[in-house]
Amino acid sequence: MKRQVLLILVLFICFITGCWDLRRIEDLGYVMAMAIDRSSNEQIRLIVQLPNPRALGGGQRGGITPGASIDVKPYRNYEGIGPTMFDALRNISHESSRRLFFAQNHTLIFGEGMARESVGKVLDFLNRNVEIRPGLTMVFIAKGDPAKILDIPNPHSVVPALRINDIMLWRGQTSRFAPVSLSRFLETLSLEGQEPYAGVIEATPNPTARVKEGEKTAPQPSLSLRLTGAALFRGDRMVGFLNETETRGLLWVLNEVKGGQIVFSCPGPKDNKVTIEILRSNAKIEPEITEGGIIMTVKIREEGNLVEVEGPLDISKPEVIRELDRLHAEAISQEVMAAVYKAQELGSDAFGFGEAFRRKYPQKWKKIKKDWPEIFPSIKVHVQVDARIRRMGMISKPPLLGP
Amino acid sequence: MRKLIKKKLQDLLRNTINWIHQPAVERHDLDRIPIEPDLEINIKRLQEISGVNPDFIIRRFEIGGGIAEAAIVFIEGMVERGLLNENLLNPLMISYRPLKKRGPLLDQILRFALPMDVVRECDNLHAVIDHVLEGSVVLLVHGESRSLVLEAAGFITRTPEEPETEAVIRGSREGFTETLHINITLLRRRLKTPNLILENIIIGRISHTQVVVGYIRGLAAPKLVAEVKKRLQRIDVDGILESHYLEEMLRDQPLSLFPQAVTTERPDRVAANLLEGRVAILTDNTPFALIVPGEFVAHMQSPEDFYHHFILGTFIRLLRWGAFATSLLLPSVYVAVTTFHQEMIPSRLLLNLVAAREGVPFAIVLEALIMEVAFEILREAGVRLPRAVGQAVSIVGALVIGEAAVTAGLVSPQMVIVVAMTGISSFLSPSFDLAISIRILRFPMILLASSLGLFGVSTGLLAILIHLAGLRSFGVPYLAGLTPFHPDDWKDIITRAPLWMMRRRPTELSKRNQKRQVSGLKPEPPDLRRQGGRF
Repeated sequence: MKRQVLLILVLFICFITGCWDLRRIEDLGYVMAMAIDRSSNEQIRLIVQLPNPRALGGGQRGGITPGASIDVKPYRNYEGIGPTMFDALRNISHESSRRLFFAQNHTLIFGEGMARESVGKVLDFLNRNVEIRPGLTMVFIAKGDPAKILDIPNPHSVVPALRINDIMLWRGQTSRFAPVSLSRFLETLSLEGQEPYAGVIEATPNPTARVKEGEKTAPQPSLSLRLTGAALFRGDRMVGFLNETETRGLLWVLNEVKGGQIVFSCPGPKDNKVTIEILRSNAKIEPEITEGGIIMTVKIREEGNLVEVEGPLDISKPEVIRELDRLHAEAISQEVMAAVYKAQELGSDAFGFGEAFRRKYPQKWKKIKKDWPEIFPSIKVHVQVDARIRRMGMISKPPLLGP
Repeated sequence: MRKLIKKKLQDLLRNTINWIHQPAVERHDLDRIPIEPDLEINIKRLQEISGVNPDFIIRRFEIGGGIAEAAIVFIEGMVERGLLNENLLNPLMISYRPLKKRGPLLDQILRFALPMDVVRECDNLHAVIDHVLEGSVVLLVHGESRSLVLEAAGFITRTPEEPETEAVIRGSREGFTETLHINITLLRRRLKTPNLILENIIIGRISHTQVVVGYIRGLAAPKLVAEVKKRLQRIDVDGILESHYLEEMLRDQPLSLFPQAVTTERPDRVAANLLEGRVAILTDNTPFALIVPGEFVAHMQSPEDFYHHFILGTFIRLLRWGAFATSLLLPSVYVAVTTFHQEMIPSRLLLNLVAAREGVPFAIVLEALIMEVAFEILREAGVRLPRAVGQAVSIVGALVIGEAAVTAGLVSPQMVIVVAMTGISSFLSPSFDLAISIRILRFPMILLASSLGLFGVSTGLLAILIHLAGLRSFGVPYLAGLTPFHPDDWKDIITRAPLWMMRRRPTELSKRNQKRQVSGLKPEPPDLRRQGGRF
């Protein structure tokens, strides 16, 4: 009897909690993207993007495919200003009817101005908060006003935040922009031999947005949201941008190239081009100490498919392929070297050369790590590329050569 | 005129009341009453016992035109009338010729005059009454203190039909009926061995229901058989109307929600279980047989698993485990995730859910409970309603809890999907009893999910697991095979191994006689080379 009463009491414990910690799914404002910038009066300016699920069409039959004519924007951006992050985001609650919920946030954008000053002050909050998921959140630097970037309409992937995610899904198409997760960003920030980098996001004019006079088609959006290149940091301060080619140079070394295209001139007098599609690659950094200083050897193994040949090149011959392999390897090493020169110029070791050095020579690293920012711009980098063409599509000889 | 009717009515009432006020006939009183040589006394006593029952018939006649007075006692409607007239009354009344050989009259009748197969003797009124109530005819002869019991039962029975609760695509279409001897026949036809033992036990002071304990000698553990019989003999109630009466009194853990005996209408399922070393309990007047021990795994096996390709069997088994989990957990996990763990839902799905939820006035828990209860109401109504009305109601019900509720904005379409999936999943269970326990456990799980989220769900699951691990069915651990862990049994738990691989019976059931078939039964093509190239 006593046992049964006890059991019932124990069962009641489950229910006396009531609605504690209950969050009704429809009462939350799901932050899909957040942008952090400095306001004019040197306070933190936080912009969050909340989707409007109703306008996304989920309530009415059939998924969140955007309807053809949307009267209401499928998202709403809120801006909050305050001395600290938490203060800024709580200020938004005066306007938003939904409690902000950050666990679905995939995109974190820093304004360029703030990034050049320092992002260090807000990183603590981003790392400390339970709802923000560093592994999921991708870090970007905005060229231009982040509020503008987060308000670019588009017929598909209507919500800019979701569009950024979708574009990122296809980063292997070129590997020329470099998104990085917040957790990796924080990790590289804390490493002594490596500096963080971040993706870059910008609003570019849309050249296809022209409607002829008298034509009644719906206007295309005049701006595009574009992910491009990378931003390099020294500590928590951004020091400069890499262009798209240099970005892939960085990604080769970081082992982050998931695919993309390599274009180079083919052997012969005319300026004909050969294009290779990257299949897979693998890179290794091997530090070395010589009398002349520190030498970093980057060994890259790459495999690709031949996708396009402009000239009359008989690629059914093995020696031609060998020649193409060589040129192809050279093109890769040029990309890497471009990135290295730029990074040395900016003084940001985003490649992790220092980290590779520490792994190989931990004792020597202890002596030089204080001077690493001065040593890094002067180290020599060798690139050894082993590039191979694996397949060449449906035909072997180009049609120009005849049968 | 009116007075006359009134008087008659009063008389009738008084008579009836007199009968009602008489003390009930107790069987143990009858035990002491022997059959007297005087027929008159016997008949008078029988009339007293039978009371006013109009179907209790005592037919008096003389054997062979005046050799002896006799009477037959039977219940109208329980005996086969043609048999009675042709093989009993005719030879005794018309063609009986006394023989010169000495000996009691009754023996002579038995040996020379009664062309009937099963004839027994009995010498007390208790037995007479019992046999008469079972449908036999009792012959009383003047001057004899014994009587002859002639088996001539011929009441209306149902022929074996396809069992409705356990329909199969492939396999036997025969199901048990309400008549015990037909059921026994169905079983005997499947297991033609003298080792199939069917022991008779009568349970129920008033109903006197025949219960048969069936097992295969040499396969079923003697201790198990003894335990089953011991538990059955302990039952002393007024009546057993359905096998569940027994099940509820045979259980190891009477308060548990989980079934501790397998219930089935299928003779092939009983036969298969007997072959594994289990014990079957057949009850008269119900088509549902009990199989004990009914541990958890036995409830997840359907006879049809073995009637199709083993890969299909395995697939169905996996599906069944999945559906089992779905029917228990889907609503509670949905509630937990949508109220506490929004970060677990992929963004787009989340937006979809939110869009559907916007404008729904109830909390998700409430929505889930409302829909679950509505589903239960519809389901129960579907069972009870007359066939003709049932269809109309189920259509209206489906529209109301489905389409209309969503359009009215009272529930979200996602919840309808969740409830429908849950409901349909519960029908995948081959054991209705197990499905019932899951059906009921769903509600506490939803409440736990709504108050503690996934933590509550896992707490609930853990509690169920602890309960199951401690449960036993006739001494066999309820999770036998899973825990205690018997890797060899797993062939028939998660998967359905090919028949040629299942060489052993379940470990916990058949410790003494494990081997089921010879090894090396895996079929293979003939070795043609050795045979000279061709057949």
